[in-house]
Amino acid sequence: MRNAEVSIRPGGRSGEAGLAVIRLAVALAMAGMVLLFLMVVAFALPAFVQGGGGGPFSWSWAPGRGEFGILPMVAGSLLAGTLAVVPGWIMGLCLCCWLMAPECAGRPGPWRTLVGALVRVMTAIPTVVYGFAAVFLLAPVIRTGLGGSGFSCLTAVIMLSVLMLPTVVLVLQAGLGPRLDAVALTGAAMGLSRMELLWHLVIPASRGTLISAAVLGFGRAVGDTMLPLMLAGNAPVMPSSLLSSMRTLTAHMALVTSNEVGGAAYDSLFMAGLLLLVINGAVSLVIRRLGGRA
Amino acid sequence: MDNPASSPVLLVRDLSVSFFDRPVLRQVNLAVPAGGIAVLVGRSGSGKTTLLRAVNRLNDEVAGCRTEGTVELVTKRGRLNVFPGTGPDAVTLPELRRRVGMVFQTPQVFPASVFSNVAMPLAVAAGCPRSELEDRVRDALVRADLWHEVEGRLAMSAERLSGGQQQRLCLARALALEPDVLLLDEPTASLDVHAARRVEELLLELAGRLPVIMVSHGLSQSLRLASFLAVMEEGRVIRTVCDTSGMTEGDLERLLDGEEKPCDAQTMRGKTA
Repeated sequence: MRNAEVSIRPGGRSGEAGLAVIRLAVALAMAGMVLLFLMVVAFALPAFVQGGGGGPFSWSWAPGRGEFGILPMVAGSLLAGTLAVVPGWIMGLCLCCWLMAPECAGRPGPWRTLVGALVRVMTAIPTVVYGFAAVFLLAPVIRTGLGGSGFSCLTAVIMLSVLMLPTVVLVLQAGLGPRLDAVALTGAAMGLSRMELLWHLVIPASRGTLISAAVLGFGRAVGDTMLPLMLAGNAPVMPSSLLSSMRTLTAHMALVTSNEVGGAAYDSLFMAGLLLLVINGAVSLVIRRLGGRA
Repeated sequence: MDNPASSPVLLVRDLSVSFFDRPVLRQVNLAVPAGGIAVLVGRSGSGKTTLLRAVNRLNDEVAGCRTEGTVELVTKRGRLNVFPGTGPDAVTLPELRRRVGMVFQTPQVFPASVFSNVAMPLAVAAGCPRSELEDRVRDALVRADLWHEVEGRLAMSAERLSGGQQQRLCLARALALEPDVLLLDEPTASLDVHAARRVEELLLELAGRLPVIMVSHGLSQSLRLASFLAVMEEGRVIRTVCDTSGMTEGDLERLLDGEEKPCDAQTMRGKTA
């Protein structure tokens, strides 16, 4: 640390030592990342090479019959993430607007203070708590109201959208807040309310922030393990409706690792991990590219 | 207190404003005559901006603000109870701020196109129908002497305009809302001499059509523009000058320092240099 501070001074031997420490840190971090990727790919390779009917790129998961297809789980993850991000993002945007636009500027009032604090507390709640609450509260409602077992794609999607809410709200607040503050007084002097400024000026000018919030929300939904595991029913098949059971990649990995040690099923998990990385990376890249171009 | 020569446009009585119990304005009494530009002068921290912002109640937007007293505007559309904002002459805050235009010290353009900067407040705050937007935006830009500079670049980001152009855009934005009064808070403070002169000429021209109340830091500028001067010190209006003709910067400097004690109550005639 000491060296790093000294390195700010241009030239000199101590500066060079500081630079060396920084370079070493960067190299270690990069090497760690590359090794992680290499390892995942290397372990996934046997499953990849296996090919044929029972390989990971098939639609049937039946380890007893030697079929290790993880495509239903890939579809499940994509479906859950996509379905959850729509209500999650819209709710997050609305909540964020409400939090940032009190009628009287500078005085958020007790409700907004309370809700703002709750949103921050939500980030610290372990997802297993959400899952547990949903098992006893949401699942019975869906079972009696809509039919089925109650443990379905819909149940998981609803909870995932709630789960991503604080992420979306905090990302939006961090991005939109300073922009709103910059125009708040000028806008007020023209008779524009904070909500009008947000809606007509700040949000249209903040596409990057809106996209980031959606991408991070999607990542949060796709990456979560506990909620789909506890709520989605976990049948390793492609869901036929919102009320049918499904299994996501993350839930699949958790289930299989708890039952298997080694073997083809275990190997296919590395493929699942790789796909999870690829899905998140690709979605982030594509959305950002689309947002940048449009 | 009223000047018999012209009826007042702004009447301030016993106005006190404090932020978190720290007084900024203390028992201000002021009658600003209609016609021409009224300039508030004074040292930094004398309360000029706070007094100006009491006219459109922008102080209310700042946390910890407490206002007492009365502020009244007399415009061509009639009497307006600004503060306390009760009774038959009162209007809602958005309505008041739409009728009292304001331009800030540094150009505060919105991060949007030149067109949107003028059109958005017009459409949202004033409810201007879409079909009339284009004409009214052009009209405002013409009045702010900016039209021929941005004519072909209305879709360009307003942040790419020069400082002087941005300030004139802010002026156009305020004018587009057809205000009854225009408030200016050191509108040329962040501009170079040339751009500042251009804005000054524009203001003199505008003052013929609507009352202008402005805060100014520069003594020479105050003398060039003012038809009425209010000198402020430590949160009070210590004297007003209804005729600035013949006044020199030195005279004004002495007024600011509180050295010159005029014999009559509030008004001091300008002296020939």
